[in-house]
Amino acid sequence: MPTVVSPRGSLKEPEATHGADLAQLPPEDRTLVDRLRAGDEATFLAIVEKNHWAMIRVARGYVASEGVAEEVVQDAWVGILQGLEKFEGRCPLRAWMFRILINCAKMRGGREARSVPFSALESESSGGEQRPVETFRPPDDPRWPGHWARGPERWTEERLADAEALSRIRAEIEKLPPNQRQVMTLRDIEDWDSAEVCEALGISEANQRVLLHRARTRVRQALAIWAAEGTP
Amino acid sequence: MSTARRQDIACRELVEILTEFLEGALDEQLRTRVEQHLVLCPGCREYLRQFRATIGATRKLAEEDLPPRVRENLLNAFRDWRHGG
Amino acid sequence: MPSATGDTGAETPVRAWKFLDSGHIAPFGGHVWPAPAAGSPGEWVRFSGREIFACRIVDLPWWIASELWEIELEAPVRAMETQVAAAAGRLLRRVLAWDSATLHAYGVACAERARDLALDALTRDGRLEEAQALARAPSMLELCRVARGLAGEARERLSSNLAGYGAESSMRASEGAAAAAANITANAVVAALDDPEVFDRERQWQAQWIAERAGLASIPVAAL
Repeated sequence: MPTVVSPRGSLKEPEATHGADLAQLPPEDRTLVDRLRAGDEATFLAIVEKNHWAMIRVARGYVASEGVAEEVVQDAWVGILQGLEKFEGRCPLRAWMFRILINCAKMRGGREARSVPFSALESESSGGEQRPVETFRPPDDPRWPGHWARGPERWTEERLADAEALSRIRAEIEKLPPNQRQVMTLRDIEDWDSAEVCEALGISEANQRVLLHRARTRVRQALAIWAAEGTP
Repeated sequence: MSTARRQDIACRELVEILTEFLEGALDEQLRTRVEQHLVLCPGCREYLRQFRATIGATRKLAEEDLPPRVRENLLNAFRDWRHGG
Repeated sequence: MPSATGDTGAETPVRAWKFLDSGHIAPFGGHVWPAPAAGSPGEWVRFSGREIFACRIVDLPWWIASELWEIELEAPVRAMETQVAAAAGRLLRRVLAWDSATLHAYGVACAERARDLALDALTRDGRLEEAQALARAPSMLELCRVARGLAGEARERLSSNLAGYGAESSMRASEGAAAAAANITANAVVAALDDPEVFDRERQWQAQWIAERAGLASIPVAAL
């Protein structure tokens, strides 16, 4: 029987449909919260299923392994359920859920800081070790400073359709600095809109865009390197 | 020596603002410059294609299935909570 | 055909030009423009929160693509630096004279102007044999090869720098990348005369070339 880690250790009996007023919440979210508060398993499972991989990936940004990320997600769910009664709906349900998740992940990640392998704490600059496929002309170029010197090689449809391309993308996303990984995961894998991502991660629109851009740039470059490897 | 027209952006600048461009976050003047540059620069056109293709391919990483073990654990957690655990 | 003016307050639609990718697809948005059929214009296209853009003749060189269309814009039309904008537009007719052959010829014409700039500079520099080699090149590719060989001291000699532009312009022209060739040439003119203002003048020459070859001159275009 798996043990459920309960960070709050509360034994209070949650009241079925009672809870803080949710006037500001969009109707779909309100329905979900009402049903959860009422103990509806089907609703719970649906929300779990829809968000599980996003939660794992976000948690993974803070902890050393997939296994620990799973535990963090589990912790987060307990925190979410216990916080349901007091949830005021001032932000969307999902954003609130992910805030709790991130707090759990940070707590857990903090405790494990000593044993986190270096690769999980990669900083921005380490990405620059990749051999550049494309280059720009230097600032003192007589005609085209800052323009392509060696431009991007054309990607063929076949190369992109290769299953290997997807695993390269996945691998590169794993190597991203955590904040970049989170943003790209939520925006480009999970298809969240930017307002939601900002809400969940507690960052500004501008900051989110910078992180997303850096992440996408690195992933594209990794793909370009891989695509170039295949060509004779 | 006089070089490129002062208003054309360089490729190096364009690749820096591509996400803003795709999100519609650039002001009209800068967006127009990006579009103009794309007309005259095959290299940046290809880069944009690759950037978009990367995003498109990334979308395919979305997974749907919940591992049964996880499902069971979380369901138990839910039931525990429901019963005041 | 009614000619149209862009007076504010006038309800008359304004006619202009629009470049689209093959299949009448918008180059940046990717959406498909409805084509005219059976003598009727294409349906009006209108976006919420986004304008329709089109060209006056003078704007054409900035927006080169494989298809050129005559478009009708809903007044009022806003003039910008290198295009015009309106709330809605519809395609009237395809300019058939603008085809891949014309596009290619445009690139070649621009590359030849770049070559001529290099020729003049080489001659002034006393590099007569090199000038002749350049003048004799029978094709864009050969022109590129010769010009590239003369571009070595681009930082030190204007004639070499212009040979560099010539090489780049002709390379693009040979690839069919006419817009790139044209832009390179406009930049070459600036270098040759050491004056950023002449860029627009070269663009005007290019606009004139396009208008004449595509037969646009005979149709009244909105004066804005």
